[in-house]
Amino acid sequence: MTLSVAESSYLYDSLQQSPPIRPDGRKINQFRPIQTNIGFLESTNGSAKITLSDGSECIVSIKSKVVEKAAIASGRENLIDVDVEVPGYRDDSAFISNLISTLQSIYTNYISRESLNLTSRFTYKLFIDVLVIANYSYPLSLISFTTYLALKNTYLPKLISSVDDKEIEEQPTFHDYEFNRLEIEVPIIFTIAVINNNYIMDPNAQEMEVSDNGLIISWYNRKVITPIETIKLNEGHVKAVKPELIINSIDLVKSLGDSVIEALNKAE
Amino acid sequence: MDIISISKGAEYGHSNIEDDEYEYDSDIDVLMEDEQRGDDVDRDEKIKTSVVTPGELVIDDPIWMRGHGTYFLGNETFSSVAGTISKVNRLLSVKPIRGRYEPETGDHIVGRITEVGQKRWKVDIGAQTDAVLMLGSVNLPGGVLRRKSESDELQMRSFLKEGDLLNCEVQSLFQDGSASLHTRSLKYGKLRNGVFLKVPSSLIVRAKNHSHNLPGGISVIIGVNGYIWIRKTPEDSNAGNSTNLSKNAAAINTKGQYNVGNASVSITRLEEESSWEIYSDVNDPISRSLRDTITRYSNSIKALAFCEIGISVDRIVSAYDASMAQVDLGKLIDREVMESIGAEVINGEKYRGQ
Repeated sequence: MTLSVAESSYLYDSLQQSPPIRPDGRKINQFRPIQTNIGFLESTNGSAKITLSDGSECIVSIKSKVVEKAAIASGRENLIDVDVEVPGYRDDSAFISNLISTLQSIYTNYISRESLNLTSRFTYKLFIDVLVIANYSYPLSLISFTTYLALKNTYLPKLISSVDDKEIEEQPTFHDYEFNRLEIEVPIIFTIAVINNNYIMDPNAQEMEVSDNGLIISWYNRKVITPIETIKLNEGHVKAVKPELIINSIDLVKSLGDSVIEALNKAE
Repeated sequence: MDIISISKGAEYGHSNIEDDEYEYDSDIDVLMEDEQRGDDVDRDEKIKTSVVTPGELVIDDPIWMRGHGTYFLGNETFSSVAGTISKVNRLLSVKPIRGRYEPETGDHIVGRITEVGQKRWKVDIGAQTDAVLMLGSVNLPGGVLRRKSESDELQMRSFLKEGDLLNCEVQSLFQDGSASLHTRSLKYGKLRNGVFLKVPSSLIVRAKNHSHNLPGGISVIIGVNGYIWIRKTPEDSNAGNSTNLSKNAAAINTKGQYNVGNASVSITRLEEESSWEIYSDVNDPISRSLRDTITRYSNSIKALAFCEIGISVDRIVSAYDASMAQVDLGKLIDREVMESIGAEVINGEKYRGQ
């Protein structure tokens, strides 16, 4: 997205006032309205879609597979596999691999193994497939919110065979139609743009284009967690972030993390 | 306080269609009310006059010539797009509701430079192909009778560069439907002091004049291509004419702003006014309250577009008035608020009998 010089200086001037005037009039802690759809992909264990007001759209599907714990312990398989597809970017581009590695590590670290546990020898493995249909701003927040909804609404087949198969070898068998809801806490990631002395939540494309720098801050179980890192929101025009702004941004996330989680939990 | 508003997405399947019908509808129906009275069919011609959808039978009479947006099987003509039927003599075509902007000569549009080339700029105007702006079709610093020299060709980027927004008119069309633009009037030129927003071009109501002063010290350029520029009213704009900011005056202004006498004055002023100033990238100082007003106008226009209401200056002003019910600018992006603004604009028009 290219802006004209006059346009970007107008935006920058508006955003660096205190409080900042955002191009769509939002407050610094206000998100763009989202629309949600949940559980519409029949052949998956869980699915969700979020549409943003600017037309960005993201679909996440969760599929599961039974694997041996030994395979995971030996590192032959990941407990959670994330795959991201964004139109306009090659699968092997730095942008996509960054997104995948961020998501992969945060979900592997924070999704509890017990919740996926089946028997003493077997466990569920989750495949998180992310398809961003259209994106006009940095998609990580959108992806993490959608994944949150999908994982919170994931149903796994109910085990009917015995849980203890250490002594007697037994393949796990499942109930024909009953499912158990996956009960887990899922981390989410916030995107914040930094402009001069201001920091704004959930920047849109225009705000990203004029921002000095970007931050991602993650939230899990009512606490701020890593990764907390800077990201490049535009080509060129990147300035250093003042340390106090990082502290302020973390405080901002702390102040609204709970209400975002609450709002997402209410979505249907 | 609401920091994130979440609504349920549309259900897939039939319920969606019903929803669309009973929620207040696109503006097209409002405009077509007269034709629709009675039944859906024009009795003489046996042609549907309402909105058609892709694959819908338009007419089974082979006498009609098939224009854009139609296809035929045997004697029957079907619509290939969703839109309204237009008949010109014996030519039958369907005008799509959504789709890219189709330039026409004389359209006042807003465009963004995408490329600087040999003696010409390429301009994104939201059409299928980029438009062309020739070096010979712009006013250069130094007046109207100035010859374009080689040095002008070499410093084209200092006039207009990639990303710049400009306000221009379609001069002519090429064979392939792409447009050639010009900015040879003081009304046109580079845009400063404001914000840009995009709406579907089909929502723009064509009018005599597409550049208006609005209450609150704001001006708007409603490009026919759906690109809109909202800015602080330039200080010298029509100094003699009127920059009255009350609501009634805005309406008078709409009619009286562009007339022949006015234009002839501007040609004599051209020499002094077309200095380097017209290609400046520096914004004037803009106060905080003006910036807030610009944001409010921009959100009001987005609300109109969200409700699929045709955009004209009167409606922008009434949407702006309706938005005043929300002191908080951030509230204006919520679905319910946008819907209520749309409903209020339509109701207001009904009461006034428009």
